[in-house]
Amino acid sequence: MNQETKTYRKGEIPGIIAINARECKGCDACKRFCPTGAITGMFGTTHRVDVDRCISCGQCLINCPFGAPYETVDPVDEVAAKLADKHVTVVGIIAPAVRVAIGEPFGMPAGSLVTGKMYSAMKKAGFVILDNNFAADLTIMEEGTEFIQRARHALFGEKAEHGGGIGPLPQFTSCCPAWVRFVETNYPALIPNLSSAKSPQQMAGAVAKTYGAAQVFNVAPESVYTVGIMPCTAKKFEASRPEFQSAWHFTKEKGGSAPSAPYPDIDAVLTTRDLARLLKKMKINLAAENDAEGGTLFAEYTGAGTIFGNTGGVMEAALRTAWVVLTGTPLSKIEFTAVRGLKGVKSAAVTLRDRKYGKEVTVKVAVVHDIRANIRPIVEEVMAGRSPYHFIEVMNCPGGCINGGGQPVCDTGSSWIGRVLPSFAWS
Amino acid sequence: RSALINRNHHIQARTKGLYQDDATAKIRLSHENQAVMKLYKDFAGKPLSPVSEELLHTKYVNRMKALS
Repeated sequence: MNQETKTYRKGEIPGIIAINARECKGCDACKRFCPTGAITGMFGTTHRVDVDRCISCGQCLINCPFGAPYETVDPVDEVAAKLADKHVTVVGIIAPAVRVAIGEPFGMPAGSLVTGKMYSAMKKAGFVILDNNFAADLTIMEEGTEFIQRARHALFGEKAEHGGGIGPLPQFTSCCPAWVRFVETNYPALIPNLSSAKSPQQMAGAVAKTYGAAQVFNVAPESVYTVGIMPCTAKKFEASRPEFQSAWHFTKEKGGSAPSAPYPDIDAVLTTRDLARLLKKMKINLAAENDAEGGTLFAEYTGAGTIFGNTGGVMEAALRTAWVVLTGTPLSKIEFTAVRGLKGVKSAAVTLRDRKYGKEVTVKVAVVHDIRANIRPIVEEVMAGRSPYHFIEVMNCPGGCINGGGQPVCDTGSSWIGRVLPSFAWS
Repeated sequence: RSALINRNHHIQARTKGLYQDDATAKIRLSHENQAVMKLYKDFAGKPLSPVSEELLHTKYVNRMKALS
């Protein structure tokens, strides 16, 4: 095996982020944003990405003053070709954070919420809509139920319904592929603490090619082409993980027609920037579109699903549902404001009555974003068995997915910092 | 420095955009998503069912061994 790809399995894309040597000035800005120390090279010399340390988050890319880091995978042309093929059902799986950023490359103010325009532009391009907020709601059902099972197991000794093991507390969220790879490469002892729930993107892909193909799109699974539209560069890596061919395995086991070579649950991933390029290439001006509906069962989503893109959003969505399921009573206040905001580590304690056991419990949760600055003390505490928390949400990027490595930068440019940096020697 | 202020402005504006989407949503709880409930009713049964485990859950790998 190639020495450089020792932390990647067969089929996985080894390193989504690379640095263009012609553009790199060796200014070290990227190193100040890299969560894993994956960037090598002395100050003033060309920098490189150590792909085995890299978790593909893309924070270097959106913060380089010279636009030197780039994505090694660009599926825009392939997706355009599929959209032109009338025999293919191209499903656009749109992440929460895309709808508040995709307006920016079309000249709209930062943070404009453009769900309806986005649906319209994507339908015009030929996509069938699967709003990933739908899959975020599905994730809450799975991950929330898993959390309740783990908590009741730890507190009351409850057993798993279908046999099998029950993971330990605290449970970590597993939606963020950069965080998952961070655990796998740095703290593998914590793998049992990761929720076994797939990320919304991967749930969406598996659902689209099974239930979706059979009962919503009414086409053969192999003619469904799934495209994640993500604020995230690490999602390109996630989609290449070999276990994410579950729809093919499932269809084959059930005796359905399946080609001999496995197909992936997610065929391609476009970042928000990629989607803007694709639409511009097709001469579709998103800003000029009228609002449209998603138009499929999979476009239905709730407020809990949409806040997944913010730090604290997954936890808040999970708490809303866990409260109702555990207590059997409605929420007097839907918002859990303690887990909102940009503080590095946020925590909350929620006391409620578990109706099944007739006992009062206090659920302690924490929310961490910006792994580089904030994660070490939290994971060290868990490793030492001293963590006070039962459930911990982790997102790699500062602010969550809304500031992901796949999001537009400076409206049209490549960097937040800009090219004029008088404090650096060469400028 | 001013560019980082610009970045933080974008973070705050996008964060606000998603909370606005939530605040104006008719339904704000995942378990009240009727499409998700239909998926369970028609296909997956319920959370953590065998079908859910097969299609909606996964496993992770220890990649640290390869680094040492």
